[in-house]
Amino acid sequence: MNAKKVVEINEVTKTYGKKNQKQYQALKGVSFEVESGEFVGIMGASGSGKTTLLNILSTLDKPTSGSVKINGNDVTELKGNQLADFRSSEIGFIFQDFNLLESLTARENIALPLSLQNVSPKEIAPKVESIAKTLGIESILDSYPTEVSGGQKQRIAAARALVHNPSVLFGDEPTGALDSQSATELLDTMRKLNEQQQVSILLVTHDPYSASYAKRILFIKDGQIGTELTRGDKSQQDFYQEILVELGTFQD
Amino acid sequence: MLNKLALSGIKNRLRDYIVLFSGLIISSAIFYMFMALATNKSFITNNAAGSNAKIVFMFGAVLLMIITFVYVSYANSFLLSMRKRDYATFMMLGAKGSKISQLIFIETITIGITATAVGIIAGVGLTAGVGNALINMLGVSSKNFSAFYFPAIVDTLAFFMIVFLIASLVNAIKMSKKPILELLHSNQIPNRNKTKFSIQILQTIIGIGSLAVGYWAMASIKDLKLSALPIALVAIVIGSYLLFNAVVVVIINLLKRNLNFANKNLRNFTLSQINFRIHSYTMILSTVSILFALALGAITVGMGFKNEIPEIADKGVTYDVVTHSQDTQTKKLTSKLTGVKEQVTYTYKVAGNEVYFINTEFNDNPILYPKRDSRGLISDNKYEKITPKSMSKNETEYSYALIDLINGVTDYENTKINFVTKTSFSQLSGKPQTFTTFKLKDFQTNLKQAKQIQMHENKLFPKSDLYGSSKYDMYEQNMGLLGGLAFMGYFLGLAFLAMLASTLMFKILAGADYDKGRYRMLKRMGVRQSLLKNSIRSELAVLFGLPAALGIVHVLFGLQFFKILLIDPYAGIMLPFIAFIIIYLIYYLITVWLYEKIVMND
Ligand SMILES: Nc1ncnc2c1ncn2[C@@H]1O[C@H](COP(=O)(O)OP(=O)(O)O)[C@@H](O)[C@H]1O
Ligand SMILES: [Mg+2]
Repeated sequence: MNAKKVVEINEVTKTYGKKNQKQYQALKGVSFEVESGEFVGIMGASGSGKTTLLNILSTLDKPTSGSVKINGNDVTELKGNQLADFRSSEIGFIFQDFNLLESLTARENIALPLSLQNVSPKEIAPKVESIAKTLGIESILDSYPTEVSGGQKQRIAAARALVHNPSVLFGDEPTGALDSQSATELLDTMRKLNEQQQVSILLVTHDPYSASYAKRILFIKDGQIGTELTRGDKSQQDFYQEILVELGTFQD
Repeated sequence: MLNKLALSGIKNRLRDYIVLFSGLIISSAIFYMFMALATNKSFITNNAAGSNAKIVFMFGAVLLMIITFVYVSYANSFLLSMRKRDYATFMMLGAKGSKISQLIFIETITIGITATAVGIIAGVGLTAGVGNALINMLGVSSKNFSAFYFPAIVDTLAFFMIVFLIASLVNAIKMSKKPILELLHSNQIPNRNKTKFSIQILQTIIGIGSLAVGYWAMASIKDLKLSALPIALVAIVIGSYLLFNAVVVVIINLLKRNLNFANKNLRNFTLSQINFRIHSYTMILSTVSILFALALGAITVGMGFKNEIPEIADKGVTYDVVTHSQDTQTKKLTSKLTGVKEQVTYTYKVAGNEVYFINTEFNDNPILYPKRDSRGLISDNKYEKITPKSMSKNETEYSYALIDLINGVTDYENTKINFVTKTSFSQLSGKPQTFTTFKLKDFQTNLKQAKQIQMHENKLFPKSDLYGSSKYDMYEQNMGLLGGLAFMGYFLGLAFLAMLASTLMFKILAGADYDKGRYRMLKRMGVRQSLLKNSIRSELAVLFGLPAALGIVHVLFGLQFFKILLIDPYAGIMLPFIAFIIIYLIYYLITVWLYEKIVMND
């Protein structure tokens, strides 16, 4: 196996609070890798450190110690404009709270990452159309975020995260604010993106059903990675059961 | 319980409250300062500015009241916008509508009283400093002036209490009528512009049309008389509103449609931000443009008046100083005059209704008779010469001019002027008298001497004997009226500027919390800090710049209005314009700084 690694993190710790103040260690030495084209889930209860981990992976926050490589680049060394540029070219995210700009239409929201890289308008238009088609939101491209449903908002956010072909897509509970129907649709789309377009995905969630869409699941508890489950040839239903069982033992 | 909640609400938004508070304090301080000056009897009656100034000040006070009322209303809606969500939460928790109204009422009144009290204290300090500086600048004596003036405190308190009472009632009524859900989500109204293009074009045309009517009305003050003012005001208000409502939106949409322009960096976002705001800002931007015009106009006109005081005096009277039958004291005083260009003494005798002059004196140095324009000002040093020969050209006017210069004649109509030879003059009965005319290089630098001479003349000759007014008299009268106007111009200008800029600041900062999320999101997406700052600065620059630009246009046309009062309202407008723009720019920079602090720190 010599596939390219999109995420490599090694012994990452994160301590909140300044010295002399009350400190809290949210991550206690986390290490794992994600290969190109993988769909990895990170599962854990609320407060286990998932968001902390994802913020560090997506360069929004810095680890207290340890190394983080995205697509082969050490991101802990990046600063200022370099960091911003790296983020805008290599990484795509979807958050629980949509994070769309209400003053822009769906089309303008999706085009934004390309505008930031000064891609010419001629190239922008077909790229936006194509990703919108993949995510099934062509009909609402000219609507404003306030005019569409939660599920549609999250698809717009996904389209915006993917339009510039990032190395990896990070999702922090992207289905958290959706009804089960919309959640399933979004997860199906993510799976389709992963299987058909080989998009690397790292999904963080506390919801076993969302996690069952991943091919591999890492369990996190109190800032440490515990067990790892791989779906292999199992059906999604069986994998879901396995997750539930694992959760039962893992939580105790 | 609810009171506790209300208090905690204030704590959470301390920064916004500080902004609100300082704005209210500034406005009440300014109000106090103005009232202290305008109503302080010992100040007004004891100085040369005198009774004319009082009327002028009262007029200014009315303007200031109107503007303060508008300002406090804005501050209150800002307050309401801050508390809306909290109140809605209380209601969801089961608080009754009447209880909420009561809470709002108490809160608004409390804030009002506290701010006014602090403002009055600040106002006393301000009056001691700025007030005195302004008085000195105008050269008005202010021996009896004290910064602490009780009636002004009462006036300020009463006025603000009334304004806040109205505001609290309006706030309380507004809140009790809105559905909870609307209160909770009032910040997230979709911003799609549903106005049809054709309607926007129509609005643009009507907008420009009403501006034209307004500007025309101000230029036609001579024909329209007092009705020019309300016509101009209404037309310009409507015009400004429509212009912002339609034109700016059309321009932004055209820019957005030009993809080559819009799809670069954050331009699309910036344009949308502006577009997003323009809708809710139309009202405030048009208000600010008008306030801006009023403020800048007031300062420009104030400076104009100040600059024209000596000019009007200069152009009103031919001779800088005229003395009569000099005694030793007069001689001593006149010897102190500097830059004397010309000094001539004329001899005359009065016998009944006959006045006799010596013809050689007039042939050598004719008395100058000015040609005056429609406002009675001497036009560009154009004089006719009064000599024994030319006398017949305009006998009545010339003799009036001569009687003005002499002492002891009150009956202008029946007095006859005669020119005789020196020998005949000496044979006439009666005591020879003299008057001496002085022309100076610069009257302004001789003010002190002119005043002393005038006082000595008044002592020598009872007022009733000297009918013509001296240049110094003229100067002092102008000082009363024009000095008062100038003072008021500066004052109102500064007051308006402070209020309009903080009104705009309120509005922008009130939305900053909501924008915070947007900027955080953009940062997460990998937008460079410099691009974000650029976007913020351009957005705020447009919001500050648009009303300023329109305001400047308003002023340029509005100065037409002052053609009836000023020789040239456009003379020297650069100084007030530049000073004003610099102060406004500082407000812009402060707003940018505060805004960036709010939205950028994570
Ligand atoms: N900025 C912060 N400062 C201090 N503690 C924090 C901060 N962010 C998160 N934590 C703490 O770190 C732990 C992990 O939080 P988080 O990563 O958000 O968990 P999760 O996303 O799994 O719910 C929690 O106990 C939380 O209280
Ligand atoms: Mg979380």
